Amino acid sequence: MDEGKPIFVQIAEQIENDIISGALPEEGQVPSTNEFAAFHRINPATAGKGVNRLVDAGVLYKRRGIGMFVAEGARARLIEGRRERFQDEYLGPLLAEAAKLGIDRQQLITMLEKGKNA
Amino acid sequence: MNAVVEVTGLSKRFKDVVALDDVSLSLHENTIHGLLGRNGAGKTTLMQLLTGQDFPPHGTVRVFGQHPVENAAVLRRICFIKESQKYPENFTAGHVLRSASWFYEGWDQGFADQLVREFRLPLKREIKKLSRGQLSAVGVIVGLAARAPLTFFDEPYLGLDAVARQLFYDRLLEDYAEHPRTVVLSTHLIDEVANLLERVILIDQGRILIDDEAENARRAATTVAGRADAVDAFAAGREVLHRSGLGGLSAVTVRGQLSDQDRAAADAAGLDLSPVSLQDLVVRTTSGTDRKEVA
Amino acid sequence: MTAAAASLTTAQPARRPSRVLGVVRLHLVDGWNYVFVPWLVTGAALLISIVIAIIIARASGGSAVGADGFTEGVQFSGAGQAMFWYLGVIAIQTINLALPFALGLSVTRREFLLGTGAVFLGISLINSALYTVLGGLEELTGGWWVGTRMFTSLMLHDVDPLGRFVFFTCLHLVVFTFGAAMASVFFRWKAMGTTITIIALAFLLVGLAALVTFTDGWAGIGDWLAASGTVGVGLWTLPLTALCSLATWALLSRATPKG
Repeated sequence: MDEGKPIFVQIAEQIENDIISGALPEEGQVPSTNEFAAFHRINPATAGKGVNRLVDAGVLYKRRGIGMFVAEGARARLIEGRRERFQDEYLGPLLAEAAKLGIDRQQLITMLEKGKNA
Repeated sequence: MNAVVEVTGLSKRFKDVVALDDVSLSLHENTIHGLLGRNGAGKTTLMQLLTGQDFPPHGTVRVFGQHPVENAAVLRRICFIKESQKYPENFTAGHVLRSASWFYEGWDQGFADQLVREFRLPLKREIKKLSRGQLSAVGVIVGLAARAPLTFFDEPYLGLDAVARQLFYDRLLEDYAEHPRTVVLSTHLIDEVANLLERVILIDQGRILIDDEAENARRAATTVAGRADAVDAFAAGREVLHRSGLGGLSAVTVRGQLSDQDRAAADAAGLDLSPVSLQDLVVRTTSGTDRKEVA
Repeated sequence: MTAAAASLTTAQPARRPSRVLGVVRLHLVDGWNYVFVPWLVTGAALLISIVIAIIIARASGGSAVGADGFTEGVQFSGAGQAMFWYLGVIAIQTINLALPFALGLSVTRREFLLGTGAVFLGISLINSALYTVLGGLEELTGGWWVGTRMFTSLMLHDVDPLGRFVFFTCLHLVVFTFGAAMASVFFRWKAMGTTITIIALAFLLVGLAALVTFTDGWAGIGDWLAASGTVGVGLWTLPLTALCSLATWALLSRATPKG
C-alpha cells in the first residue's frame, strides 16, 4: 500500500489487475467487501468504496443475496481503458526520462528490440 | 450520517493548564475514528468527559442524544478501555473478564475465549502479576468482546509486541465488519492503524486541528523536494508545515492538495513530489510552536 | 442496519440484568475479601486466644477453668476486634480500587454505591448472626473450655443474643461506612485533602473532649453509657453510620477517577 493514491483507488486497481490477468474470471464471484478489508487490513468502508467504484464503472455487479460478480466483457473493457492510458502513464514518462539522459530515438528502438528478445 | 456523540464548545482546565479549549466535534455512527495527538494534548481528558467519568464545566456533551454523566441508559452502551485502569486487589484476569460479562449486554463469551487463547492470557494469574503486555491484552479483550455500540480504546497497545498488536487490529477489523459499531482509537502508533481509520481527529494543546475523513487527512499535505531555490520558489505563498535541508537541497512539506497545474509546475522545475504519511502529517502539524488551525 | 443503529433510539431490550446486582457480584466474585479472609482472621484470633489462655493457665499453675467459669486472669480477649479492623481496610480498598474498576465498566456511581451498600449490609447481618451463634457456643462451653471470651467479652457479658446481634451489626456498619468515607475523602481530594480532614477531625475530637472536661461532663457521660447499656451504645453509632454514608455519597458524586 503506497501513500500516493487513495486506498480505495488502490483496491479498485488491484481488483482490475486480477480481472485482467484472469485470476478473477468473468461471471465469477469476487470476494466480499469484508474479506477484502480483512485481507488488506483496511477499513471495510474503504474496501467498500473501492468495490463501489468498480460497480459504478460497470466492471462488477451485485447479485442480491449472493455477492459481487465480474461483469461480462469487463476484461476487454478494462484492457482497452488501460491501453488508452498507456501512452500517458508509461510512454510519456519513458520519453521524458530518455530525453533527460540524452537517449535518442534510434537508441531507444535498439533497446526495445533487445528487450523483446531477452 | 448519524452522530452518536456531539460536543459543542467544550472546555476544561486543571488548575492553570487548559486541557480542552472550546472543542466541538461529532462522532459518526458505525465508524472507526482515530483520536490522535501528542501526550498531554487532551485526548484522555476528552474521552473521560465523553464517558461520564469527568464533569464538563463548559460546553455540552451529548452521547446517544443525552448527557452521559451518571446516565445508566447511555453508559451501558459505552466501553472505555484505558491503559491506567485499576483493578480490585487479588483479582485475576479471569475475574476481570467475568465481571465485564455482567455489564455489557452484547458480551460474546465465545469471542472472549478465542481472544484469551490467541493472546495467551493466563486467566488464573493475578492482575498485579501480569506483564504490561498481558495487562493490555486484558483491556483489549474486554473492549473487543463487549461489543459496546460506542467503544473507546485509549492507547490500548502498551506493552503489546508487534504480533499482538497486529492481532488486535485484525480482530478489531474482522469483528467490526461483522458487528459494526462506533470505535474511537487513541494512539501514537499512527502508521500502524492508518488503514483502519475512516475518520481522523487530531487534537493539540486542547484544540481540534483536524476532524475529517481519513482519506482527506492523508492527502492534506505534500512534500516537495529538490534544489533549494526551486523549492523555495514553489513553496512561496503556501503554508509550510515543515522544512529540512541538506546542502543545496531542501524538502518542504506544504499543506493542501496540489492541483494538476501545481504538479506540472513542480515537474517542470525538476522538483520531486511525494505524499506525506498520516504519521508524518500529525508530527509536522503538531511539533511547531506556530500552529495553524483548520477552519 | 444492525443492533447498533437501534441503540440510538430509546427502546430497551426486554430483559436486562440488574447492574446493581452486577456490582454485588463484583465484590463477591473473588470470595476472599469479604468472606474468607475475615473469617480466617477471626478463626486465627480465636485460636490464639485459646492457646494463650492455656499457656497462662499452665504458667500460673492453676487448671484451665476457674471456679466461676473464667480462667484466672484471662477473661476477656480483645481478639474479637481483629476482624473489624480488617473489614475497615476492605472498605477502604473498595473505594480505592473497586470503584475505579466499576467506573471503568461503565457503572454509574449510584449503581456502585447501591450495590456496595447492599454488600456491606448483607455481610454485616450474616457476620453478626454467626457471631451471635458463636457467642452462644462460647457460653455453653464456658469460654471454649479454657475460659477465654471473644464473642461474649466484657461489654457483652450479660447481653442477650438479640442484643448481641444488634450490637455486632451496628459495629460492622460503622466500621464499613467510616472506612468508605475516609477512602472517599482520599479519592476525591487525594493526600492533601485527607491530611486536612484527619487534622480537622482530630481538632473536633479534642475540642469535644475539652468541652466535656470544662463542663465536668465525664461523669455524666459515664452514667449515660452505663444506662444505655452496650446495645444502646451500639445503636448510638447509627447516626455516625448515616453521616459517613451521606459523606461518601456526596464526595463520590463529583469524583473523577484520575489516571
